[in-house]
Amino acid sequence: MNEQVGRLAGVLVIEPEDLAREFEVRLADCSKLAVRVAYSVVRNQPDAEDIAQDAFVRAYRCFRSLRDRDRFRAWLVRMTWRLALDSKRGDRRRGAREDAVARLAPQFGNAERDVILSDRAARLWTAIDELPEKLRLVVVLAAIEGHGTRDVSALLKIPEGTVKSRLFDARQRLKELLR
Amino acid sequence: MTDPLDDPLADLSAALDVDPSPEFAARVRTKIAGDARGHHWQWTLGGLATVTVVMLAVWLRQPQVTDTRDAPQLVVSADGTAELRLEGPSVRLMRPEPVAPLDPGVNSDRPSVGNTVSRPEPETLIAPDQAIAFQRLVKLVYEGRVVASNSDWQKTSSLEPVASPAEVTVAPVEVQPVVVDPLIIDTMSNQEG
Repeated sequence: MNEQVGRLAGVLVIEPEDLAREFEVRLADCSKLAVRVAYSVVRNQPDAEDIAQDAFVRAYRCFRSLRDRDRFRAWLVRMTWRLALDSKRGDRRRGAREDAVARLAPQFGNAERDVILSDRAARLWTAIDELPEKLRLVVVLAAIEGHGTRDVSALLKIPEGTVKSRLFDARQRLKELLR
Repeated sequence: MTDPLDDPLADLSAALDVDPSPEFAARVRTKIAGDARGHHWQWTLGGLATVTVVMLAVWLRQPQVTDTRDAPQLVVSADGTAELRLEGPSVRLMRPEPVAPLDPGVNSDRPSVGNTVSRPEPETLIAPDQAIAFQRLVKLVYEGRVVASNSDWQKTSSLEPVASPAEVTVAPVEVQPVVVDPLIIDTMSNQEG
């Protein structure tokens, strides 16, 4: 009984320094994930970083309820995705986004090959954009950091079987769109 | 590089290979600090707004008393009675009653019947500043401190008879006699008739 009370008191009484320290750990752990999720939508690194920063600021406001690592990552991914979609709908930097698509292809010093790669990247993003939102998010998360179906399932809080079927559908549609 | 038709995810994974800039974490900390300050101001402004709303609500719930005494008004009746309504006791200015004309053959002690007929009394409202000016003027006139200095006004108010107009002399008009010749009419012959 006393042990349970002590544990409960430990959960309820959280020092601000402890919270700040934990948040720093989450920030270092999830920065790349947040930036890449935002980048998959806006395709512009400065915009993606701005969006990810906003998501972290919002996460800090309710960090007391997000101390668990998996919970934090899932919340952050959903928040970043939503903010990025809102930003894209605003379409404030359309020109910058198209420049970013042109920069996707690596520079090999071969002009003809660069043009081919740039065209290929543009087609890929166009195909990604045409996917339904549910499939798009699963595909993006699966393509980031080598996430497996279990990771994606944990991030989106959906069953693993659903992730697998969505990934399959997404691959099929992408192949058709890129053909 | 793989063929996108074989595995589109591989291409997508390569395209998403972006890393946050080195100052990313520092910017997040700066934004969090600014956000905390913003929240502090929001709480302060929210508190002030709440206090204002409560004070307004209390003020609006109090019974409204309309005090018209602040605006002095001069009410002039058709019978010559002027009443100045000011803050405090009102000032009533009364014009002397007109003397009833004496009816020959009737006892002068009895008032005329015609003066008792009641008439409608329309009221005229004038501006407060005009009312105050009028009140001052009336007060000065009653105290005898106002002396008319305009000679033209004195002439017209002295009720002296106006000078009779000068006589006009008209010169006689000479009229020439008109001479009319007699009209001669020839007699008609039998053939013309």
